[in-house]
Amino acid sequence: MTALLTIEGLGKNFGGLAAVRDLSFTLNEGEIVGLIGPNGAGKSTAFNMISGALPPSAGRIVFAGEDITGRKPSQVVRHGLARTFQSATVYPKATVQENVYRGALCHLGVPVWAQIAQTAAYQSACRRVQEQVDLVLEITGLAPLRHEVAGELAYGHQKRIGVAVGLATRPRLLLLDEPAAGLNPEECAEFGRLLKTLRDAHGISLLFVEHHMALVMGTCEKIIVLVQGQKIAQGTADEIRHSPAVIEAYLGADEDAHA
Amino acid sequence: MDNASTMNRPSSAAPAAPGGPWRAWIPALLALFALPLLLAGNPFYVHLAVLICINIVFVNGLSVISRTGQLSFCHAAFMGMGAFTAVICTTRLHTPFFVSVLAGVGVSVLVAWLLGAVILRLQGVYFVLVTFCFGELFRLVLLEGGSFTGGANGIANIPPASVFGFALDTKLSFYFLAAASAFASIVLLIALFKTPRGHELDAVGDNPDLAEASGIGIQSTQMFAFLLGSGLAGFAGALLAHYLGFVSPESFSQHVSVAAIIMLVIGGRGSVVGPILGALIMTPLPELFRSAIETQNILYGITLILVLKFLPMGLVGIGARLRRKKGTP
Repeated sequence: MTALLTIEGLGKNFGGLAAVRDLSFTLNEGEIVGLIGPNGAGKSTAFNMISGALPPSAGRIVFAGEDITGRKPSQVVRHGLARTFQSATVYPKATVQENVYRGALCHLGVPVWAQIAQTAAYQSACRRVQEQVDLVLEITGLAPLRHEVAGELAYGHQKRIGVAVGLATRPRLLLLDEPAAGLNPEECAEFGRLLKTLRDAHGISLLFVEHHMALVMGTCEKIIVLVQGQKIAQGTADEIRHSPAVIEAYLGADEDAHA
Repeated sequence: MDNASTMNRPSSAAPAAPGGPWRAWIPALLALFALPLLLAGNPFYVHLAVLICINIVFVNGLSVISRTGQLSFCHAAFMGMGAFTAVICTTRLHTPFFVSVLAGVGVSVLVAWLLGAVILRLQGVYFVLVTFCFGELFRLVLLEGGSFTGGANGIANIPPASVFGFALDTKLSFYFLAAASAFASIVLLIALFKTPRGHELDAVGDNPDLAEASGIGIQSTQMFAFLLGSGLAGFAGALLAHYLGFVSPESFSQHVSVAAIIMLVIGGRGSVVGPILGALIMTPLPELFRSAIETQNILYGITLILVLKFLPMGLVGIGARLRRKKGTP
């Protein structure tokens, strides 16, 4: 297995507060990795640094052999590293398929004058974009809703659209910010199945920040535990469950408290 | 906006198929622009028609910028830049009309690029404030420009526009140029908003964070819109100057920027029809209410508040609402 994402000594200070300190880990091609920890542990900060939304104060982020430290999200996503948002983030006034279409434009690569002139290169690029849109709608099960206006759909569907927009950018690694937050148990289980499909059938690696223990333990091969900005443990679900440091700092004696 | 067209083509996510339905618009537009010719006997109506056409170009520029979520309060400054550059070229350098207009557009775009590089990182009300200041600064520069800009007196005796050797020295002859310009700017906008680039403008306006995260750079997209919109304003300014034969700093004050915003909001943002409706309705009003010049601005203010309260999508929104009530998509 080759490393797809390598984090080396990543750190972020907000004034005097060190939100993340010396965080290092690797994510291999085809892995599902979970980043967990109590509130304020620095999970979201780490997440935002990897996706490019926040510039790190220290450290390096290497993705697919290239140093992407400090690049903007719109540049990072072209390398194949996409993200979703914690709340349901969609283009509310556009239809479901227009939402996905806007994500798929990232690889169109045709200048605006050629788009207006409708050159042959533009038309073949459009067909590729269209195929990607159809594929993503199919994978995420949104095809029946493609003509619905995104802002008028239920929360669970909007979260799914958020993932679909990310998938439309053809990522090799998808970062998910609390994908289960706000979902009912049924939707949550369905989401878990979707995540497995993305990896097993489409070869997309996943890194997610999550509070929902059942989802994390059930889907992740590798779990990283952050407490107060520092990594205190890393391992499989079983190793994490029985790690004394994690039990003391986060899970508590009864892990169901967080499930 | 184009719900209807996407419903007809179930597997397409909205980009225009080649030769798509927008071409159906062209005859309707041509008919609209031919209408004033029936009133050609009355020079006042022709005058209004010319001003409406120039305002359509002007407000179209503002609407492109607003589609990316930015509200420019210095749109009149870019109109003034186009106007003064073109006039200075025509009167001092004696360049042909086309060259003067190109120079006017070029200077507007260049200044928009320099300004945009600095201020487009600002969002919302901060962008509004800085553009407001820039508009005021531009007016002061014109006032202090001495003999170069004519100071408070401006520049008069501008020779009329000429196209292919024909001097457009009557209102009616200029109307053809103004109508062709307005028509071209409308077709450009319709075509642009059917392309992926147009969808990217809307994406940045609808949800900048999501756009940035899915590969649509906020700043580069807003810069594109700012350049195009300011270029259209400069073009409108160059036309206006050669039509009126006179420019002064007051022709491009904040009132004119505000008027453009009112036209856009009342007509409707987020639609190509909005600026046309806005210019069509709001251009004649000051001419009709010349006697009530004191109360005019109060009326505009009230209208703006009422429209924002009850018709947030502008007059275009009425059509969308009616269609929705009928149950058609």
